[in-house]
Amino acid sequence: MLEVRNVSFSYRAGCEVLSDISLSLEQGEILSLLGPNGAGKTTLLRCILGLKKPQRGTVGIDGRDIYAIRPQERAALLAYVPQSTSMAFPYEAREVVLMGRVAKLRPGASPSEKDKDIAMQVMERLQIAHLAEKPFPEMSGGERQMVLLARALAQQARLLIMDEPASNLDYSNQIRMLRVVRSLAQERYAVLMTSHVPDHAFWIGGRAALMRGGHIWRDGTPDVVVTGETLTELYKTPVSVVDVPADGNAYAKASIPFINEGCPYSLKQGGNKSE
Amino acid sequence: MKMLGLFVVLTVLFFLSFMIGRYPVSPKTVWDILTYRLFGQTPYWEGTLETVVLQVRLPRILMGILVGGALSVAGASYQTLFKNPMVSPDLLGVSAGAGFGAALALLNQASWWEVQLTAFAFGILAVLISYTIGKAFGQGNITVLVLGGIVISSLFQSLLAIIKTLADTDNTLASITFWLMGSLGRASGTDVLVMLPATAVSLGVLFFFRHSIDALSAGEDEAMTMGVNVRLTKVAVVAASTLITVCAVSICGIVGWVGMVVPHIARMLVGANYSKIGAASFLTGGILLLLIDNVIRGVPGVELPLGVLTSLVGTPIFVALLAKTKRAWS
Repeated sequence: MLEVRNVSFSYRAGCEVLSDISLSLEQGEILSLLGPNGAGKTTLLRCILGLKKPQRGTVGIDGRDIYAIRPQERAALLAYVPQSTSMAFPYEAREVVLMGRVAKLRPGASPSEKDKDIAMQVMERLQIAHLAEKPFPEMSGGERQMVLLARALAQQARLLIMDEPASNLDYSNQIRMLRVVRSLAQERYAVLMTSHVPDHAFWIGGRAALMRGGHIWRDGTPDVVVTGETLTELYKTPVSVVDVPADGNAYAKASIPFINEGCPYSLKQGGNKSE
Repeated sequence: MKMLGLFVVLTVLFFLSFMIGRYPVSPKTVWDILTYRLFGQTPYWEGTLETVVLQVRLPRILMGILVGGALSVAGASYQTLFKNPMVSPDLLGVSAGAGFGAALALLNQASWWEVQLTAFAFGILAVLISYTIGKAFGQGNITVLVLGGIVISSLFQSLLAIIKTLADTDNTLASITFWLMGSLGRASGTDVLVMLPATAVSLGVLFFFRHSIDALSAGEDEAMTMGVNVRLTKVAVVAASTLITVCAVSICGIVGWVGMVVPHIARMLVGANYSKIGAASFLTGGILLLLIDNVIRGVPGVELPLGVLTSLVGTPIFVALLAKTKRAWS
């Protein structure tokens, strides 16, 4: 449903932030975009969202060129969940979620009962209905992120663009958010998300793309693409990816950075105890 | 419910305001004077009283409501659009431009309507320049637009200072100074007839865009991904707010603080939603400015300057609001 072809973008001539990027995403698929700061992840998202127009290349959603259509039509095709939003004023959660309906309103009209129902449904779907009347500035980071996701779902677009949905969240909220993202993919949403934590790609499954220097460097399933070697090269820091026994015979993958030279810090003490 | 309360307060205040002044008029008599032609009653009052009510007090009271309300709605719109609670309607230089225009006209011994017209023209000009700066150097980026407004405000204030230096200290300088301090005393029936349609049109435009303005409170980029026509909404808000502010300033001089403080009071009463604070700001602004002007009219022997009194009243209100809402802004 999302088709990015040969996109190149530069803020200044001769200094490309994105060069010749191509990727595609199908319904029900999750693509985690990994890469160091400055790799161009955010710029790529901005190009896909139509906030920046690349100098070369095309972005199509359901076969439509997103730079050729109005923001109102674009909002029906894809929705954006920002990393964190500052709201200068104490909007209540339901008011924020209802903003997601703005593109569907007739000119000058107020949200209908149907719009309000949709807003309420997505809040119930995300289990945040109890926050409906809580002012946004008084919410915790996890609550805010859920409200912003609810706003995006209220748009009823089938493609979700999420900028580090699980950053700035505590451990349990990270897991909760990623679970929600995965269940959305099971409901046939396509999700493109960036992350700074390689483990998120393992947890959530789907596909992972590694980005560096404005290129897509690797693209495939996390098991294949996210390895000790690729992470070490991508982040210029020694990382090891290990199999960890999970339930029964299953193994889960985990990435472990080498803090102490030569040996992952988390094995140093644990190893003595278990042997 | 709160909105209805504000409306009732404003209506009651409207009638009570006629009681202030050298000829006190009871609300009943005011009602009869305003409506006797409609209902075919016979007047039981003196002709002078009718003149006082219709020609002197009514325009001034209506103007107080319109200017207070309009400036507050403009302030609320700018605060939501610019995501900034510290913003007032003269952000883009309207007041500074209009002040310079009025002073220029007064320096040239212009007539009263010429002063208003020049103030109007320079107020618009200042906003146009600010907007052009924002467009040319910031590609419409809001921070650059605000900076443009600051620069242009300060430019016109410098030009105003030059005019003040050139002005004859006995006459012209005094009238410039009084003009700048603002007054509702100058408002005539004709002024109301200018202010009323300008306010109505602007409020109509802002009402039309109310939900897009709400979405813009999340920032321009996010609003665009939600499907808002950001450029059109911004132009509409700036044009509508400028029109009401420049009309208010041209007729009444510079009335500070109302446009910044009232939206905060409104927000405390009805929440952040723009549709609600727009309406609540209009009513609250009307009430506040009418109250202040009643104080001015009530003090015998001297006409206290309106702009000074709004600052005197506005500052403590704002400090009280800061104490109450500090958590929401952090």
